[in-house]
Amino acid sequence: MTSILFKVLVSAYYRQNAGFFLFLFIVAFGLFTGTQHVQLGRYAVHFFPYLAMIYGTLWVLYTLKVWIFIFKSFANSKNEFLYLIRLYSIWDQVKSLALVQFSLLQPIIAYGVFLVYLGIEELAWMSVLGIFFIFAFLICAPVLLYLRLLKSPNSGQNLPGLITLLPIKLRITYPLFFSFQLLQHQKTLLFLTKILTCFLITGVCLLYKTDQYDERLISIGLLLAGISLNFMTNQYHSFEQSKLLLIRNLPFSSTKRFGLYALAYGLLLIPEYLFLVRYLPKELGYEIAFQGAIYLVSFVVLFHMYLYFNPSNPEKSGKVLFATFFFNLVLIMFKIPVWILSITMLSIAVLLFRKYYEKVEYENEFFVN
Amino acid sequence: MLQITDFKKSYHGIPALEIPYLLIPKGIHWIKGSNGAGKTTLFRSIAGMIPFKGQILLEDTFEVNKNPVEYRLRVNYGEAEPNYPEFLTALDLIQFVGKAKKASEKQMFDLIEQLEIGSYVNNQLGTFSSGMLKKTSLVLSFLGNPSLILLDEPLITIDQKAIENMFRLVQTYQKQGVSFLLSSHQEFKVDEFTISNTYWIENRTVVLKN
Repeated sequence: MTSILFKVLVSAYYRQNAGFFLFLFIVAFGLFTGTQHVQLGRYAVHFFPYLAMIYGTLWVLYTLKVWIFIFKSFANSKNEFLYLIRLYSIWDQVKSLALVQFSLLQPIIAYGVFLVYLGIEELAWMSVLGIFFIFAFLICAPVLLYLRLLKSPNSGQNLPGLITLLPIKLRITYPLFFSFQLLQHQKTLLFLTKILTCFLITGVCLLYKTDQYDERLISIGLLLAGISLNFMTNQYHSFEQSKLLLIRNLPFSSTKRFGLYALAYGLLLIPEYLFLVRYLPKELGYEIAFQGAIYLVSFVVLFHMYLYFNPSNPEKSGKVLFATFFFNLVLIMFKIPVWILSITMLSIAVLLFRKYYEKVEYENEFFVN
Repeated sequence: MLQITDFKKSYHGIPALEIPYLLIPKGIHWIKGSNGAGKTTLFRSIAGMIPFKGQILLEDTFEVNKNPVEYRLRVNYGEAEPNYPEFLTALDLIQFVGKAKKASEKQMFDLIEQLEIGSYVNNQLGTFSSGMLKKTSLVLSFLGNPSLILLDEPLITIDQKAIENMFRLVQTYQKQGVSFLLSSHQEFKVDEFTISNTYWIENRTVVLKN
């Protein structure tokens, strides 16, 4: 029973939330150094009531997310067989469900263990005890709710109603569609590419820290990041062609369509922006980070629009990509400001979009009915 | 209502459909044709979803390429075999399309109720059966204030109850002046409305055969 619950609930949960954890990972380890994490932890264990309020609230919110996932999984008609676990003894049910809950809470439990370690080092016994109590509650209370759910199978169906009572209605809007698509179908590639681009950006920011910083290094780093992220443009075209053809029937002006694509890419590039801002050399102003962010999105948007002109010849696309990279590199070396390069690339992107968006014919467009 | 002039659609140089001139009046029209005849190609062209050569004019005013926003506000399309992003809920998609088509929240929820998808509208589309997807696509095709609704194979994959619900909607919308182009291999045997014209797609063109 436990192994089935792990396959249906635990694996599915981590698979579905890979993007969420990727975001947390990037924020946690990209924006804070190890020393800062330790300092924050030491501060927290010294002020237990605040710790309970702040960390406790975050942990409860995470547990709520897990709880909603479990309820939705039980409500899914494909998982009706899960109710058969009622046939096991109550002790077996409690044991398996507690193990499932424990596994689903792993990310916060790992952080809790880190705080307990710091608490022991600092001899802050109240904090250590408090953390144990909080986690005991976060594991036991949901298990009781799951047992109740097993007794009344239809209660899971009421979850959408419960969610509507929450003050915030979470809806996935169009600019996020492609991010979700990548997180669902290309998560490994996305994760590895993001690690590469964030390291690239961090690397160029930390180069020659002791000398006067040459901002061209950042531009070159962003250019390399842009090349690495280029796989997304093909994916975006393929996604709309196969799953969102109806977008072409929607009454959007060219300006709005262009803006939505730029926004969709802009949102996908948030981790790169965060790293850029976090590690930007102190002598450079934030306007350099802003210009860099626009430059990166311009590069990616240009290639998205180029694919409307040439959707079916990857070899030619590769050559154009290399030529664009080379010209950008030469112009950066000649100290042409990146805002000029951004405006130029965006202008070409607009021209390509206006001329070829309505005319594009994909290789896999087939003769239908 | 809809005027098609000098229409040519090819796939990689191979002609698929050519319509020198076709005037489709207001009403409910049935587009027939064998598999691969070009019904979906015609519908997608009229919906402004695929490129073609020629002109498609709605209500003597709105041309699909010259007035893209106004035209698409008035022409809706229900796909034959809808395929949507699995991670979206039906409500996410309905609200996205509804907002674009300027549909009110009330209209969205009325359609959800009339096509009976309320019990799973908050579920992810990836968990839907083909019938549930088809009903969702039907909701999308009725959103906003269209003048023309294209329903590509509206009878496939949905049950008799859903077909009756859809026919009732077609009747209601027709009374409000909305025209329909329906493609189907099955006969339309309904009391709710009458088919104005039947068109056949044969020899790569569209001909009127009443």
